[in-house]
Amino acid sequence: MKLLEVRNLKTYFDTREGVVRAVDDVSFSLEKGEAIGLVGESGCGKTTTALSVLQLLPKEGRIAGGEILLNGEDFAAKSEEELRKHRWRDVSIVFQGAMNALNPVMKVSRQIAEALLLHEELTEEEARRRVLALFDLVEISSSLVDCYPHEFSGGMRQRAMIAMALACGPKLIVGDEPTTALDVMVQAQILALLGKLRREFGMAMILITHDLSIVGANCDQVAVMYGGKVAEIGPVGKVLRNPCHPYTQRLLKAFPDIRGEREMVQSIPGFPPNLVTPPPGCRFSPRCDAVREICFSREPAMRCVEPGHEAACHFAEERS
Amino acid sequence: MKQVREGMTEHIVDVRDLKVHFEIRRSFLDTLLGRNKATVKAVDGVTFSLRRGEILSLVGESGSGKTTTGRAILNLVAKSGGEALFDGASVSNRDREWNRMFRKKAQMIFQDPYQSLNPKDMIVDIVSEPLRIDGDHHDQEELLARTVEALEFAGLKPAETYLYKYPNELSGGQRQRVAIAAAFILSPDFIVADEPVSMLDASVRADILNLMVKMRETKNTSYLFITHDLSLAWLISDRVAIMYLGKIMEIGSHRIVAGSCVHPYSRALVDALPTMEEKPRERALLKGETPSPVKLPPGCRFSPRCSHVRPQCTREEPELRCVGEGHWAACHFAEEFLSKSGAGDPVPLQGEENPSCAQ
Repeated sequence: MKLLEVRNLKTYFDTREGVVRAVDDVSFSLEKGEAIGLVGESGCGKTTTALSVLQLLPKEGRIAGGEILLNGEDFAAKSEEELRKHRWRDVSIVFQGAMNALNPVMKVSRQIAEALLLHEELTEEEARRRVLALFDLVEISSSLVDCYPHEFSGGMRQRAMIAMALACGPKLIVGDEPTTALDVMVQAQILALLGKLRREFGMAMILITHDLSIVGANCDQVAVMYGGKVAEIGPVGKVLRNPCHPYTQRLLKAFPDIRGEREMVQSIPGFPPNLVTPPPGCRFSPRCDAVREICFSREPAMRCVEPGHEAACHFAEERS
Repeated sequence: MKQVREGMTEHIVDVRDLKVHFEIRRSFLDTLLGRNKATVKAVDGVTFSLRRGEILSLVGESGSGKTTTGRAILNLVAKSGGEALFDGASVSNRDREWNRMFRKKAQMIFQDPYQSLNPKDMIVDIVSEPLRIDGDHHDQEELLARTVEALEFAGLKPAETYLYKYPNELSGGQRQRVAIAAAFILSPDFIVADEPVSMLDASVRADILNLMVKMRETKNTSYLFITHDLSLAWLISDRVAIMYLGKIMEIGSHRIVAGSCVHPYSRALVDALPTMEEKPRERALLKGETPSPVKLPPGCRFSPRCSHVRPQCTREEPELRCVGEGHWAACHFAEEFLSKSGAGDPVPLQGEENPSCAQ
């Protein structure tokens, strides 16, 4: 059984302008210990997808369809009460800039202990011991155990947030741009840490990022999202080396490849679609440089180009 | 100082042993107990020069002093020592005429287009403001025509649809284009671009970078490009300087960030870059974080984190030395690492006039 299966997920936001179809028919799955990267431009629905999995949507948002199966149980159908038990214990999340989410007037270790005490029946002493073990795990010196957040550097605070996310031994951790606000070196350290934890505990990960190179080095699968839909999905090596969706191809050209030729990056003309009134047919068609008649009228289905590698383009096979 | 004209100096910007130190405000108790004042050495002896039409990237982690260096060159922060010259004249001189010229010819683009534009001003006002205050008289028609021209150059076409909008009606990428149009309207010779694309999506980022390169090609604009992103520095610059704790550790052609670097710190930075390779090679990441610039370690400031540290490193601070053509590194053992890195000619070109690093 898969650890996580997201099937035809639809998440809509009710706004004054109308219904925003932020996530529209997204499917992917994760095995135990596997990592998937969700990439795409701002507004493509990657964060909303992850928040839907955790059922942490803001109040305007609702899951309008689809299933989220965690260990075979439908997560989307659970009550808030039941969910609270699963959150943190089965799935947890590390946000972008999470280091700023720490309570400034409470010791960091105390904040982690609180998360533990809330979810597990522990004594104060046991909780403290667990916190020390977690500090050790995320490589924070135990001398910092009685320190307040302002005494931590940004990287250390992000480590503390990871420690908190790991506190109850989740099977799935979601990283929403977990390293975006950090320096190159600290970013590499945090990603290496997440990789180590994944290998040691068989934890699965959903990594949301706008940086394709991070996905390349840290994930097994990648889902490239565009306008609330998955444009292309598959094993990282296959998708990045043999992209079959015009959007993925263009996106790759927007990133410099320091190991390759020094070619100027190219932008994708036009703007991401308005998700209240998305264009008919393929959502990428107004910006696509290989567009044909059919693209404007019929929405492309996922087409398999090689085992495990699918792209939502009428002409995916031609491009592979 | 009217005699300072374009073409007088080979370098548009010359930075010599620039220092910017900040005093930390002391608590009342510290004052009472007569404790020593603490200073943050944000920039601590930086020397480089920028040729006309050149793009030089300053790369480093936060706290390395790259932004402060850029600001000091524009005289936006007072320097504590050394000199920054623009067109051969000190940027901190008080000549009114010269300063007026300087403010026209040197511009800055900031990182955050959500904060750098006045939310109460319309785009037309933001972009034309430099023209309105530059001291020359421009009539309304000319103002408008040049604003339209600048907006269209920055890729906001047709400009008329943007003129009377407010910043909140624009996306992040469009706002950064407005900031660029405003920086560009006076046709500056020199621009300090402080992380101009770090908040933008890949596609928009590509557009802005292309725009900057186009400006260099058409107007011979020189750039100091401040970034923490090594791959961007590699992509658009002629030369790259890597900073650590207020000093330049290594400076050379853009190739140094693609792997031909010799300084152990540069090497560590390059190794930390994520790559699209499926199975990344094992890499040795630096432990810990950049120490505080208040208490600098003795000798080489990188020595506490350096995996190649030797006794000499903790005693003597290494100076920037020439290790190849246009390639300088501040490491006692640079030549040794050079032969290992296979970067090329290990024989230092000492004594030769080297345009890349004015001494």
